[in-house]
Amino acid sequence: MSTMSAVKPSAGPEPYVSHASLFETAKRYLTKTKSQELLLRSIILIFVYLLAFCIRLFSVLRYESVIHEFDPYFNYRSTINLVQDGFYEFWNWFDAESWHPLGRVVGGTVYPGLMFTAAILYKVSKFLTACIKLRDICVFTAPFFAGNTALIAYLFGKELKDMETGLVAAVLMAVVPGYISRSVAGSFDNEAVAIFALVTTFYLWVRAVNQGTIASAVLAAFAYLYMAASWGAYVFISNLIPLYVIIMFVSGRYSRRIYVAYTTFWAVGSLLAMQVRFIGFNHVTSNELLSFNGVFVGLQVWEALVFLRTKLGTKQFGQLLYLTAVAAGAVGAAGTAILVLSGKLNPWTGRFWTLLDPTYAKKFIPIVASVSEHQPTTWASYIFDLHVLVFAAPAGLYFCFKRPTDGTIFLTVFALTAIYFSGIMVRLMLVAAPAFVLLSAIAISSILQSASKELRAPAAAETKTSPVATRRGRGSTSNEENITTKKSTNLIILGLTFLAMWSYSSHSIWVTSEAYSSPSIVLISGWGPHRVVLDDFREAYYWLRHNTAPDAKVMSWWDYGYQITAMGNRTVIVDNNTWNNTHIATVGRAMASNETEAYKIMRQLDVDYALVIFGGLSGYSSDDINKFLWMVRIGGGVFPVIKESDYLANGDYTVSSRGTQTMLNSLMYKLSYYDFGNIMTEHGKGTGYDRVRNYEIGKKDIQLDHLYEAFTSEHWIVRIYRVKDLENRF
Amino acid sequence: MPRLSSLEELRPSPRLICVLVLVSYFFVTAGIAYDIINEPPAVGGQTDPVTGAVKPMTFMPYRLNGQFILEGLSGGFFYTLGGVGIILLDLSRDKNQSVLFRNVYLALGLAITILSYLVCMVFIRIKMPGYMR
Repeated sequence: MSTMSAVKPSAGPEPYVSHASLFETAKRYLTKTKSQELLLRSIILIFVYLLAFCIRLFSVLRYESVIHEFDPYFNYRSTINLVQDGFYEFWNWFDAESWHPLGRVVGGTVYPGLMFTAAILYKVSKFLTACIKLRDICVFTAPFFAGNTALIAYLFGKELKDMETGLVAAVLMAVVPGYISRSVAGSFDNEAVAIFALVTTFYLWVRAVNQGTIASAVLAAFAYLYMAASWGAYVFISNLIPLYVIIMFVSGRYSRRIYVAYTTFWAVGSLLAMQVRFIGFNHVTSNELLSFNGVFVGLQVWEALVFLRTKLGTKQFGQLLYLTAVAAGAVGAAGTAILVLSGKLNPWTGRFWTLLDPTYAKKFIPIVASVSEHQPTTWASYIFDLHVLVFAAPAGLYFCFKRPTDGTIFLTVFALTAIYFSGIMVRLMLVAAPAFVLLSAIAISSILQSASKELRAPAAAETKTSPVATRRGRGSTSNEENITTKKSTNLIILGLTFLAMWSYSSHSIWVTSEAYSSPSIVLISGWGPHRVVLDDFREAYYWLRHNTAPDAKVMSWWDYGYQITAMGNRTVIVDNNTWNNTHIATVGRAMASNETEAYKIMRQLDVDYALVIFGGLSGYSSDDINKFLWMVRIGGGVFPVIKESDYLANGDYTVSSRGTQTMLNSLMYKLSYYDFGNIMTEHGKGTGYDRVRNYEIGKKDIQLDHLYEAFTSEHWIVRIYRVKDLENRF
Repeated sequence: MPRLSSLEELRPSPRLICVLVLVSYFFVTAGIAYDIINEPPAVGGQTDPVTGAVKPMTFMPYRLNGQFILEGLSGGFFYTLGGVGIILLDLSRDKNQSVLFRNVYLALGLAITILSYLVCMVFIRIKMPGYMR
């Protein structure tokens, strides 16, 4: 107890006394509104972080901490390589275990940001003697960065409008299902860190534009480096920021701050992004970054013109302007023509062409069209992935138009492009999610602010206006009342917002739990005592690992390449990187040909084992027979010998007795249904009843001449066949 | 620069741009890209097992990655309508309007917002019967 408690709290600022007790200090701070606000804000942000982390842990809690899907296995293998062999080995890594016999230059064809992040986290945790296993670090990288993204969303909202918007943005970002879908625990993929880098780059860019200093722009360039190192969608940033500059110019809001920010960002950002081996000089020669470089040149020209105008007179300046415009136009056109004709300017890659012309991939690049994530979006994906944000986003756009600032114009441009792209490809819903979150944060925060301001105001207004009202009579009291809406209306609005947020969070939790938490390497169905776990994939890959020669080569469809290399530790022919279309087409041709032709191709490729995924016994519907038409299309795209019409009976794709002979004799059919004709799968149906296609198969007694069955997993999901050696001549 | 000041008159008003943005939002969220690429029918048909007659089926069931054209358009329409409702709520706070307009905006805004949300919930429950269970 100290004697200073005699000081009255209402008499100005309290004198600082160093020997006050803890209780006294706490009370003194907690009674100030500013401290209360700080405490509330900190508690909210801590809870937001914890929420963002914990909501992504469903699959870990339900099953185990395992890496999901296909691409993360390659990232995991690369991280192991980085941690074990060191930085230089990883940077110069040539992987001979995939794309046999071509190999893959991993160091130059991978975005290393994710691997470096995981390796740094691993080293840091080892240094702090926490010693977390590398696999667990990889599994939990995504939720960790999701929490960071929520905090950056807070900073971004604060920069765009005010602190309340930031808090709403953080809360919405923590649980938005569109982001959760690619960042659950176990989804060790580029997007896990790339979305964090994207939002950080945008936040730092808006901050740089608002401040107009070189230091802030350099910081934004470093965030751009992180984005360029992490994901191929860095071209989105490098096209969006020039587009923003152009729009600001056209709408008359160009200022010196934008010039400083963009020039510094271009210079430092380009140099940094070129350090990534995969990008290299593409950053200045590629068509995809033409606007990035072009706007830089344009800005310098503009500022030079403005500078010259202040130095010369009007007439001279007019002449100079005319000459320069003509010369620049001629040089620009000629230069572009020469570069395009000589092939120096690299063309747009197919993935990005699809964004401008959605029908491009369907017509020209079957591999890009076959990826399920590249399909266009339906209306239901919006409400499923965004729930109430889908209603609040147009309102947010209205608020941005109502009071445009530099930051909100940037947000509008970002949101419009992101929403358009999300309509074209389902995968890009992930990029649109932060845009929706920020727009909705602006809308919701504005609604809450205006409602609560009016709820707080009448208490003060009544005491002030009552003497006025009594002087002026009844007419003015009704005037005063009408300027603020009734208290009940504001309470209704607050209540509705609360209900909307409640339903948003319960929807997000349900969606995460049901739809986005499946570790697709393990198939789980049922609840409690009826839970069935199909662990066939890992069973088969570990069989491969333990029971085949170390230099055995495995041929499978490209979907499973990463998993086979990572878990089975064997060389594969094609994998998910899909960089060589002809190689994939060769494998597709082998799968689609009859056994003798396929055997020739397999001997050429030096294949020892063939692996197929078969769902007919278990009901697993993403099996190779369902993907077979894509194999035919891709194979037929390179080898005209394979014609899609040969495999369709009257335009129908079927493996029943109506199926064509080419289909029933193909290697894929034989490998999938070998020995299946003797199995009774369902009561009341004949043998060989396929539980995915829901009919009996066409040919039931299958003989294999050049392969023999080596392994079939417990539920027949993975089937591995050994390719026989050539026959003895004597 | 003297020539640029005439651009001010050419520049469209923010209100017009906002309306255009909302119209494009409607089209994008209605799944227009899916309609162009996959060309689904306007409505599907469901054969009644007893009579053999074909009943029109408006929502493609059990799949989030497939839609019919009308289904997409109605979904996108209600998303935009919900946004318009919130905009109306904010317009009702404009102090320069008369009382009648403000009250109308308020009532209309509340009604439209609540209606859009409820209708979208009904739609998603028709499309995915296992929703929230």
